[in-house]
Amino acid sequence: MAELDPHIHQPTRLRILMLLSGVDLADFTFLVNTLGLTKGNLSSHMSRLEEAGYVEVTKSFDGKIPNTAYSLTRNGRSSLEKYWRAIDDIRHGAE
Amino acid sequence: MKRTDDSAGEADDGVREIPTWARRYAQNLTLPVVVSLVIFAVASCMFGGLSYLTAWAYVNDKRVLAGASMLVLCAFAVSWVWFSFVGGTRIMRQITKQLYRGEGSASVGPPLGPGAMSHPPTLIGFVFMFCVLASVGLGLLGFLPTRYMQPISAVYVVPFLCYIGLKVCRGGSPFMFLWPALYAIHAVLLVTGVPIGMGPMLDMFVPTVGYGLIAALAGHIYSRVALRRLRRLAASPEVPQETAE
Repeated sequence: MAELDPHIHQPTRLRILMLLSGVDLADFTFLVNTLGLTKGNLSSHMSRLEEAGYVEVTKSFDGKIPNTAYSLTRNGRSSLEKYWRAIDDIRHGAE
Repeated sequence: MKRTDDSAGEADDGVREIPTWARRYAQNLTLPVVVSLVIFAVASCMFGGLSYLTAWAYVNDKRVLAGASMLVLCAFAVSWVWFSFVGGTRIMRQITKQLYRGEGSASVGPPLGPGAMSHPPTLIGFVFMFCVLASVGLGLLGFLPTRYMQPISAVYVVPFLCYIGLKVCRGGSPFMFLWPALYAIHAVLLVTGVPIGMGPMLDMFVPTVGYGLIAALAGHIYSRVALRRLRRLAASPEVPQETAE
């Protein structure tokens, strides 16, 4: 039986990582709007992903307005690929 | 790491499509191109109008009007140079941010900010400008038939637009390749004698602005489709709770 990464095997975090794997950079507003989460929920998920080393945070200022953008790290990308391989292994094992 | 097998099948229910639609959305944010082309069209009309007014006033011996319109024309030309080389990038960046403020920012090329769109190499730019000036100059001097100005321009405009699409706008919208494609088709139709000619000036202006607008609007419409699909696929199964950030 394949092992699944607990950081990724959570529906919202999986969606966040998949979203970030399709783009180079996405800001906080885009993630909140697209995922339909509250800012608080997204913040806590992003903190966990950042602690795991799966996402990189870029903080900047647009004039006086702070902007937080996220990108997937190389580690995050390879972990995501491993996760899907594990899912496929489980699928094939079950068939 | 933990072992899980019963929920594995639920995890990839459409989730695998998220990166594809996220990329399609981010690639097709082409509204700034629409804005740029509208600005270019308005500026071109103002240049044309002021030039015509100046020439008309001069020919009809209205010296004061000719001088005044010439001054306005010069001021407008200086403003246009400033916009093109100094302030335009910053203004367009602000406009882009305002246009997409409601949905946030996602990019597949360089991030928004300095260098969001790298300028074409100077040599390519000079070659392009030389071709424009040479063909317009030869046309005005009567060395080129005016009805073939657009087809002749297609020889350098089409490769330039393809180059811009491929190299400069990394991660740009595939729909923007409609622009050179339609420009080339227009040229072929003119050469083969299809009656779509609108006069030497409009034959250049309409394909340049019009086909650019068509391509950019097609990209924008597709980005709306991609965003709707993306939001459906990426909608979190969590019930939103109001918590402080």
